[in-house]
Amino acid sequence: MTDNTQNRILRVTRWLVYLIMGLVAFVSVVLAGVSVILPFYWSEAVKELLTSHPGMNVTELLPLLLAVFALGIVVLGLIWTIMRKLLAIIASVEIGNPFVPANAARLKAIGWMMVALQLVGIPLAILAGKAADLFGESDTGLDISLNGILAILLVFILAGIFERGAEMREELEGTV
Amino acid sequence: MPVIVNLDELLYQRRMTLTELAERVDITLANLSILKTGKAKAIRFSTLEAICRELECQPGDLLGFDKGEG
Repeated sequence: MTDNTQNRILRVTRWLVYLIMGLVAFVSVVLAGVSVILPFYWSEAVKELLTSHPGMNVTELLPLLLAVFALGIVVLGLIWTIMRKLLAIIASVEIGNPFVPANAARLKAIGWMMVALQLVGIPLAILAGKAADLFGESDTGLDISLNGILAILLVFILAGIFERGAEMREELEGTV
Repeated sequence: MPVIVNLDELLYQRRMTLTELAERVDITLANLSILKTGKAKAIRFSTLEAICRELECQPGDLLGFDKGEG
């Protein structure tokens, strides 16, 4: 792979990360805003809901929604932190020194955060399912993502590779 | 460090500066400095060959071993 192609891919990756962070920030602000405002306008919201979905159990709905929003914000926070670490890794590649212990640590942290994402996804899916049930729609389900598990394994393996790479680079330091 | 680098002496004998040597061989001044000050951990054969060619010396002239240390 030529240097130019490599640089271009790196730049595109960097901008994709920025894009994702922008989306995460936007959705977080919206979610946080709704979570704070909704309890104050709950009675109006209830009136609207009962006209469109008569007989709905609205007492259960608010805590469910708030719980889903809270877990959603946790998920968004995890994704944000992962993106920041990715940016740091990309920066180290751009300055030509990626095989440092810090990158191995970042990758391990990303791995564990991806595990956390999978774990938080479980109650989130269950609660979202319950909320959807109240609306009379039961199409949300829980599926364990095989892609997600594969990605987690890859990240941890990569962390190990970077650790060894950092050791090798350190050995090379001081070679003239 | 038990391995001694006699670069200073050889440069003096050939009336050459470190900078001049760096220009003649494909080694950065930074790396030559590391070598000269005894901070190098390893030397490539290609580096050894380039220095010996320019300073017209043998590896044994450039490097020494002090049994006393270590």
